[in-house]
Amino acid sequence: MTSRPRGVPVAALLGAVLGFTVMVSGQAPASLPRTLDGKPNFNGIWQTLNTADWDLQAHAAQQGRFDLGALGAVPPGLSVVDGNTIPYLPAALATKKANFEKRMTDDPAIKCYMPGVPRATYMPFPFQIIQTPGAILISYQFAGAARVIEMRPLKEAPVDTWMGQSSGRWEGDTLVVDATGFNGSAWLDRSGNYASDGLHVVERYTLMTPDAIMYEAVIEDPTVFSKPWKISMPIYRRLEKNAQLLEFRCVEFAEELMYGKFTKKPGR
Amino acid sequence: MRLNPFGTSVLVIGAAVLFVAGPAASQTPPSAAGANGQAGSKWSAPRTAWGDPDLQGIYNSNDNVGVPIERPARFGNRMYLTDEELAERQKAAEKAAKDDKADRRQLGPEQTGDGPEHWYERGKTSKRTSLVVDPPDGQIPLMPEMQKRFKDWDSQRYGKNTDSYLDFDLWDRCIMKGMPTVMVPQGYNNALRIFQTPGYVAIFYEVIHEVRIIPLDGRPHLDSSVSQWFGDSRARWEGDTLVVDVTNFSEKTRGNQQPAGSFRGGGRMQHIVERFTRVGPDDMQYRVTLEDPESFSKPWTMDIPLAKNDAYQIFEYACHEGNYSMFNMLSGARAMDSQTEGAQKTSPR
Repeated sequence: MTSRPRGVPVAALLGAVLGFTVMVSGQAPASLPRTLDGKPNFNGIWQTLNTADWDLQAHAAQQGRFDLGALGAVPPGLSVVDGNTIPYLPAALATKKANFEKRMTDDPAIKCYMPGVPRATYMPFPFQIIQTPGAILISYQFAGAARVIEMRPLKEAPVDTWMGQSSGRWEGDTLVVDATGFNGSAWLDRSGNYASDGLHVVERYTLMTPDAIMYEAVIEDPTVFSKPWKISMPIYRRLEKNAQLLEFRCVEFAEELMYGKFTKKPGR
Repeated sequence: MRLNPFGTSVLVIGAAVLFVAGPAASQTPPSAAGANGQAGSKWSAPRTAWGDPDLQGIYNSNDNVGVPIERPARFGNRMYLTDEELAERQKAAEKAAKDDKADRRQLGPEQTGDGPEHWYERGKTSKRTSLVVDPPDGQIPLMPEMQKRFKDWDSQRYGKNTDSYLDFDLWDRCIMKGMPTVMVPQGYNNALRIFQTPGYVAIFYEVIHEVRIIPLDGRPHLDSSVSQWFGDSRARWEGDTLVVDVTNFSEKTRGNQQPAGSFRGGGRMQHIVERFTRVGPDDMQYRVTLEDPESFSKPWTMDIPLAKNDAYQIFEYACHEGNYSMFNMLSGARAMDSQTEGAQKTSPR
């Protein structure tokens, strides 16, 4: 963890007020932590604290995996989607609905597949940012997924991938990441929201306080959506002493589900 | 993919310099010699803006593809090949590359094979007789039980034991290449990229998109009750060398990794010390010492030279997501079981 000024409650309150200013002007207050090259310092371990991974849109609590009882239920949540509407084209909406019906079996995350962007951000797992002037590494705990944001313009991705290709730039004190080159296999949440390989995500990371980032992502995919749409949510710093991103190599937790049917039966 | 504008000429120069340096260095571990032989000058490692030695960049071990982990017995305690032996190895590597290429071209649409030609790093090698530099005979000092496990594994490898996904090694299962075998040069994807921030060094490996984020703040290791596939890493600087101390390994890694020589992974008692030292503008020396009283009779050490090439492009290695092999091998094995069973039922007595 980087050292940074520790605020008293008054300063925290001030930070919250200034945080509002951040979103308006894109200019972080001078008291926010900065790297040696003067950029807002995003180094650290972060995690969202919402239910976007269950459903990006507003949703009441509902039955989940019945055999897990209360622990399998879907926690309720407000929408992280601006206006609570995802502008699906008619055929894509049908696909989304079909995905929803099959969500207990077909969500690729069940198999420990990489979550893609922006889902990696709001899965209920932490991630760590390693920020250098030329490139920013984000290491996600879920499935050990990782991406490198190159802080320069990139040519069109030579191959499509789960986590895509990310090109970053600074707009004032906001880190803007242009993510493309996706293979269209990842879902956007556990409710079957999805995009195709034409997905284009523009993410904006802005420090609100030393310990909170306002995250915004504009999602564009002309084969799936009639127009771009936006999600936004805060991301919180993990403040535990000696916080550490532990391994979540979930392949081993998906193997029985994926390959167990091929295990030789005893006596055969 | 290697995007080296100099192509093989760099290798030729590297080999020539190694040859010149060879006789003097041949009986000592090549800790001060770089992968491309640019060692020994007055070069000093650059520093980060906050004063740490700067290791950042993209490195790969391609110049040592084909060097065995353990030393073939005929070389005894000798660490370097003679010129004749090097020429022989080079020729064999080139032939293997050519044969593999021809094999791949012959694959029909219904056949499976490995990846396209441009995936592979072939036809290159160095004068090293083995990656193991200690003990001096270049052999991994396995405990008898581990020797037995290695022998057993050999019999499983070629399809003899496919009862369950658990019969496959951890790389087949896309869980991990192995620690520290993720550093051992192989046929492809030998790159790693190092990032540094004040207080952390992060290593991003091309194979299975492994990331290690290693704290430098002197914090203690995780509680011994927490084991991880890649262990738990803590680092410190000793001069210009990054020294990484790795503990908290899982018993699940013991004997289950893709073999590196006869090494298949230590277990819960394993303790690994890695040393990363930049020895030239384009050269890093990686030295790793392993101990595990349940797996090895004494500590042993590998030296793996790394070449810096920031033009090397790392692509996503979606191993598990694209793991058709597990599905195909297991479903194929069960289909064969059914056939055998059917044949037994219908065969005349």
